Amino acid sequence: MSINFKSLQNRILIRFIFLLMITISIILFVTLEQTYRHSESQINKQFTTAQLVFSDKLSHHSRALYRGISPISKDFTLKQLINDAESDPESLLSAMNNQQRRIKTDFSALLSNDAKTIVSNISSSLTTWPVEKIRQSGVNILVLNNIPYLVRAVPIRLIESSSKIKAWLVMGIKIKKLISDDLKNILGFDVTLVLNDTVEVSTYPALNGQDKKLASQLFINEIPSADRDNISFQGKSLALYQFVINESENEKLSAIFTIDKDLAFINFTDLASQLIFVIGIIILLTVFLSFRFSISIATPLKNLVNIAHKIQYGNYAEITHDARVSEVNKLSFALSNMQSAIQQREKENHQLAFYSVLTGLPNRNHFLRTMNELIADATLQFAVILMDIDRFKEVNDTLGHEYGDKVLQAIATRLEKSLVRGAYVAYLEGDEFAMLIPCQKSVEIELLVAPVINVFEQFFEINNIQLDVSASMGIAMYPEDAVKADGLMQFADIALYVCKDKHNSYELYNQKLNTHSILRLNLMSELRGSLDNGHLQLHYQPQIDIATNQVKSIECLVRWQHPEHGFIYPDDFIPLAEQTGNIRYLTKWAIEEALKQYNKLKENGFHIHMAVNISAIDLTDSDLVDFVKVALNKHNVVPNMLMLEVTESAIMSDPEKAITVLNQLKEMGVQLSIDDFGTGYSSMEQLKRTPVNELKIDKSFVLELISSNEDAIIVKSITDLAHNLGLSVVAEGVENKQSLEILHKIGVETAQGYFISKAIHADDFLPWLVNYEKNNA
Amino acid sequence: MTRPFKYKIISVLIVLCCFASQAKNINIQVNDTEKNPLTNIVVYIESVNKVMLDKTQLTDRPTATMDQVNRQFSPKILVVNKATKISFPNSDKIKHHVYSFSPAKTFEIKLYSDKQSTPLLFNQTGEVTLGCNIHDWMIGYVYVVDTPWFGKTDLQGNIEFELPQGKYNIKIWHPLLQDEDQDFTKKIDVNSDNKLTINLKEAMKPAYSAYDEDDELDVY
Repeated sequence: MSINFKSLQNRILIRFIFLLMITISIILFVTLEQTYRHSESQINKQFTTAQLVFSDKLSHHSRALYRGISPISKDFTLKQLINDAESDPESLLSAMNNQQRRIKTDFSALLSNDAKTIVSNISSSLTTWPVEKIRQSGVNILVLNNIPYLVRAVPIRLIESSSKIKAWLVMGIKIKKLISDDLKNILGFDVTLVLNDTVEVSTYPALNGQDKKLASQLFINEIPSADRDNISFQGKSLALYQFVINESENEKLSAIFTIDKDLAFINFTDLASQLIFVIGIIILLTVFLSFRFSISIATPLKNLVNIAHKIQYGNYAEITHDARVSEVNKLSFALSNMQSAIQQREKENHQLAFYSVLTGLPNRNHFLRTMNELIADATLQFAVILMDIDRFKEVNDTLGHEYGDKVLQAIATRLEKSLVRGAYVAYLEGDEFAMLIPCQKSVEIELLVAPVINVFEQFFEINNIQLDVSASMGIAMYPEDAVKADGLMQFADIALYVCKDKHNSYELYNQKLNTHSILRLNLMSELRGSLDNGHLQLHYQPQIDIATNQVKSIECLVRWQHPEHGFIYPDDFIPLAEQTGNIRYLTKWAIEEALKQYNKLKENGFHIHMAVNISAIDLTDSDLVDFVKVALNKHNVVPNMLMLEVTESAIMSDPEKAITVLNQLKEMGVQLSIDDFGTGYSSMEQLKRTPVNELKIDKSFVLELISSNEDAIIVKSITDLAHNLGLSVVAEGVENKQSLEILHKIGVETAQGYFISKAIHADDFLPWLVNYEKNNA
Repeated sequence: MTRPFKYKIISVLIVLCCFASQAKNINIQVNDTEKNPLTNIVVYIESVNKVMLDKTQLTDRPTATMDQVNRQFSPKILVVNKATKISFPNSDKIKHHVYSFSPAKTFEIKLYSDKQSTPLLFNQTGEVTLGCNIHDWMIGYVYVVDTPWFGKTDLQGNIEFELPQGKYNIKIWHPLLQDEDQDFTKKIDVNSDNKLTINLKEAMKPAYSAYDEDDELDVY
């Protein structure tokens, strides 16, 4: 089992225990240390006291000895014998022996006044006894024949009250006899007497036993020189205290107190074990309480974590707030609030994600999801209908977007009402609706679409305007046409596209429609790759100044040389690129290529304006202005050498935005031209506001200029108009010399067309130009 | 000088002494080193010419008395001429056991309580220290001299002798005298009344009390 040290519960627990351990360790250490010191000092005190008691015992024995021999010294008979000592020492000695027996001493001696032995029952090497010393009160030790005695001497005066001392009486007791178990019990220690490094006597059992000699030697070796210390003897740890009882030149008599440390410290050990027991209980209790405490925090947290996990997967749960810790409770409430907020937002997101705000109908996502669900169900057959409103752009343009929106809403309402049971309608975007209608395989399509067509039978009356609306439908069948949602959508879309072309109210998909579509779709996926690998190229069509025949500028036209499909006309892929948004990359690529070409021409001494077409989509691209600026800088091209051509209709689709972008480009110095002028619906007002330098008259007015007087009038009018607005005029589609002359007469400045040159491959342009200039000159 | 001549001179001297036999008063004052009078000091005077001594008196000498009163010897110091008998009566109602180990007279009179005990003859000169075996504190002295002229100084430290003319040695004794004073001999030629003073050369020994040093017994 591994412990997660990062979990709150364990951290709290571990910290608690850690803190507790430290506290207790310190307390234990201090207490035991103090107690140990106390015990030790107690023992030392006891040693000191014992020494006093021991000394007192010796004093006591000394006094007792004195009291014993003092009366003997006054014994009349003894005095008589002393008086006759010279003649009869045997009697004296015998009497002294008798007295000695009476008081149980171990030797006696009678000394002359000058401390020489008169008679004695101990053979001593002493010639002169230290009488003055041993007559003193107190403890007098005399070592005779290597045996220490407690001795006293008293003077014998023949007449007691006389100052004259006749002799000295000395008696002694073997000190060995004083060391008894009684003494041991009184002192509380074992007593060992050591004379000159030999154990004289001991109450310590080991020093009294059979191996007394050996043990004694070992014991002596162990004794340190210090006054007291601890020694280890025969596997026991002893507390030891020693002091000198008597020390003379040759002899040193010491007493040694010892006690088994286990006995001495028995209280200490008890205390320690009791303390450890109590502390153990405290630890258990603390661990238990801190465990409970940490659980009381951690468990609600764990629950909240689980809830948070559930929320992560969208499983919302009832959150209870029963934590005992207020912070945790706050968290619980916060989580609860968060959950509600998430639920609310999710609902809104769901609404936004799956429903159209405008119509209230499900959106494309919802539609696709529903379709996938139906496919997954696999029991139903159904028709996918994509529908768009015919000429809806006109409605928007003429009646306004707000009105258009209302039309869409009205259509949505009617569609919803009209649908058969089980059918499903969604609003995709713009003017596109989509429907799923369950049907039998053999259903008549007409019956299927009839309710939808019915929707548009009656006019829509909105804001008191009666509006006749029609729609086109593309239909794909599941599972006959495709078994996947995107396939169905694609085919329905193809069908719709075809339907629009044919101006039918509906078109059912069939495979024939598909081939063209597939190509178109594939092209788009290949477009970007083609930009990079050079399959797309710019071809250049020169524009000449009609007055001078000089090449003034060139229009850059994109050509796609597809490795499989061969040459693809711009009309075939540019609208597609516009639909898919790929036009942006195409335009940027074209601008860069044009600038490169410009520099190439410049290197060869030609300063020719480069005209590049941009689409309506580009005008909504806020990047365009910056891109142009950067590209000009990058290729070091003066801005007014670049001419951007934009169609009249591109400006008209969102005039405000377009005018803003065009203004920015114009401020930069870039030349602007309105392409295909005359085919759109631009108003004079808008034309006036549009910041262009040039109008390019659509080739439809120029191609038949020679034969059609009306066209000539139109061209003349446009030219006049342009000139009046301060704009120059370009005519495209010039295919013969007569047209060129007419244009020159009308006052058109620039001409472009097959008469001058068709679009020329990049590699061929420079030779062409050189040649043209040569001929022209 | 020839030997016969010497004897001549001696005999002349003896004649002279006998001839001038009328006594002279000799007053002796004994002082301590501080010139304070000392009482109870034994003073005895020995004639240089011993032949002059009256031998007849030996047997007729009166018996001296060393009594025991209130558990003390009385007197403390008794001076007697040689060959004097001393009786040891007991004036107390309790028994005493008087003894002496002094070489001049070793004796013991075992426990007795009667007033009359057989007097003892002291016929050796010298100091006899007396003790009582049952009363350690009791101590008495008998000082035996070989001269008829002896006595103890009075309270004024004074003593007077009537001495025939002649040459004498004056000596003093007391148990507490230092040896130098104990051995002191003052020669005197008595031919008229005289007054002389003896000053101790050393301070006397302190009086000895056995009980002073026996503090260990006092405890109990």
